[in-house]
Amino acid sequence: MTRLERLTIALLWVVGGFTFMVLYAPALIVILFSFFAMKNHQIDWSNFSLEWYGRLADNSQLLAALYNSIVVGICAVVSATIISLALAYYMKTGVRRGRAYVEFIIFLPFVLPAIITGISLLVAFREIGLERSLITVTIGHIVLILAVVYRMVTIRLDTLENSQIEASLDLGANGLETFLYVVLPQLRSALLTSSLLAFALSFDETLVTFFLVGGETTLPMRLWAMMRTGFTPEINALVSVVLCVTLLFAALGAMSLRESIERKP
Amino acid sequence: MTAALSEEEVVRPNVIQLVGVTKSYRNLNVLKPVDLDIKDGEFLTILGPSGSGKTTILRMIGGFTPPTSGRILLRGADISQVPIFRRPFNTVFQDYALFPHMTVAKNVAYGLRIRRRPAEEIKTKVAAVLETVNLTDKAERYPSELSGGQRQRVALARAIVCEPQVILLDEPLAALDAELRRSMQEFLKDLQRRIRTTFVFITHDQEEAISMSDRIAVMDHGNLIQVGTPQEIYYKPRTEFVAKFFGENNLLPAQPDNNAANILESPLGKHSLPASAKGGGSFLLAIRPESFSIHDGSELRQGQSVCVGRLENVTFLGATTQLSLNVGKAQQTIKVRVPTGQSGNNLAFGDDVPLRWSEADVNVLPRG
Ligand SMILES: Nc1ncnc2c1ncn2[C@@H]1O[C@H](COP(=O)(O)OP(=O)(O)OP(=O)(O)O)[C@@H](O)[C@H]1O
Ligand SMILES: [Mg+2]
Repeated sequence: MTRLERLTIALLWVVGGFTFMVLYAPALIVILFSFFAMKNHQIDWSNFSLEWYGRLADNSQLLAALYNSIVVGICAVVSATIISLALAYYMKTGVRRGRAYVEFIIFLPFVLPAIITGISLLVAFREIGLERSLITVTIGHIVLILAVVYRMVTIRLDTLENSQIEASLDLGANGLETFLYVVLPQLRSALLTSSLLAFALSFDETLVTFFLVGGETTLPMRLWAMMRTGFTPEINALVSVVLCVTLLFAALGAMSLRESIERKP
Repeated sequence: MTAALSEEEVVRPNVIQLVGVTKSYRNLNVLKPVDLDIKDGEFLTILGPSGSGKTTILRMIGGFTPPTSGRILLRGADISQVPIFRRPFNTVFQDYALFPHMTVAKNVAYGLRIRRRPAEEIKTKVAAVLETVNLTDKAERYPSELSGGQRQRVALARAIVCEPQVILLDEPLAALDAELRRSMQEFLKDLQRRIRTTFVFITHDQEEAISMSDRIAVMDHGNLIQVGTPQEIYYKPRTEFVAKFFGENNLLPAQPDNNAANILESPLGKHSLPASAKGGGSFLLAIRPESFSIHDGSELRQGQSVCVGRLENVTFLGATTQLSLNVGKAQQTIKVRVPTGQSGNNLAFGDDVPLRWSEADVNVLPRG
């Protein structure tokens, strides 16, 4: 290694480390804060405690919002995945006219300003007399994340040769069996990553949710509301928990992605 | 050879019959009406240049593409409406189409598992078939860990394990290098003899077709031009296309004689016009270079003729020697292939060489 190379590598480490710090320092600080007691709006470093986690466990409003967010996220992801799978497989197995139009309509909400999507959905729901509730929120999230899920499913499905589907039919499997034994297993990791991404999108969605939310609220909406009265330190505990769970899922996703890349012929 | 002949004598029933089958895409006629009988247990090769409609025929038999008109019969019953997965055929795809998420054993077992066969039976059958294709030690590998030839054999194993009535193979050897290709040709032919299943095999390689097939169906531009044994296709071509498609051939212009309606005149001399070649106009004569021999002066047998050609060129090809000779008034060049010993060393350029051939080896073809 020449001196120049060594210098370049050192520089890269510094830049990389700095970027990393800027990105993750705030999160680390929050985690740190969550473990110490507060005295007159000051951190008391001498006093390590799990008090905020305890208070979080007692904050039923915040927990309810968290629970709602998770339920909405899961429902939206599952629905969007089923719709995407059915539609993408239908498009794959034959020459379908109007494919371009259908895909345009699916992608539209993703690029439209969320306010427009939100207001349109609000007006539509009022017209058909659907009360605002977690159900309307879920529908709104489905509309939004469908674009992402459908996109990721079709990208993976397009790399699946048609001859594999034909081979399966040729070996005696009907359409459903072919889908279950040949197509679905090969979409597994694409579905896992798209689900994680879509869940993340749904979990912190606020703009569209704002128009559609009823009596029961989601976590981001709850946090917005709390901003007005000021945060209590159990927020730190909540953020820490969410962060750790997210990291766990991200690692899972990365692992499944790598596995699928290695398996590809 | 003799075994093949005696088998020919047994009249084999038809497995598949194509009756007036056509295919068009929009207004494009890619397949003119095709009638083709595929016999039980035969190795039938569909041969033709690129775009001639070979794959189209195979895909219609397999059920992947519906014919535009006509009927496809399986032992006499129309199967046009039978979906792919109910047809007792299995296909070996050109790109193999192995399932990448399954091991070799799982790939091979797929058809049996779909048919809900007992686990014990699946296990023994898969093991036996893997043995047949020499892949027993690769059973637990994934397709991505195999070589091209090995994948090819997995695709084959996956098809034969289902014991289909017909195996359809779309240029299965096209992606292999020359040496592997030759060994796979032998392997395939040998396998077909052992399992006695009908093979419908596509290739655009003439030598492959000749060396492997019981019968060859020659296609060109969506037309099925001729169906016959390799010997028939080689020595008895019915069109100019077939005559030119396989190996070296001499094609000579021939006109009806002015005086006698059923006599043809060519640079080789006079020939009687066979009843099958009707109409006036001009004809082509096709005769193989090896159908000639050098006339040694001995007495001609029934149906033999002689003519004299001027030697233009001699090419040593090993066991045979190829002579280029000019014949007739128009000094038409013909090629003659004789065993090297027979040509002698005393031939000199410009010599007149007497040639002998049998009229039965001359094919009269319509011109155009
Ligand atoms: N889906 C399609 N739409 C339109 N034309 C098609 C379609 N499939 C095939 N063709 C046309 O039909 C003709 C015959 O095609 P086919 O695939 O049967 O040829 P082939 O003999 O198998 O050629 P190759 O040796 O190149 O595989 C070609 O001219 C091709 O362009
Ligand atoms: Mg083809």
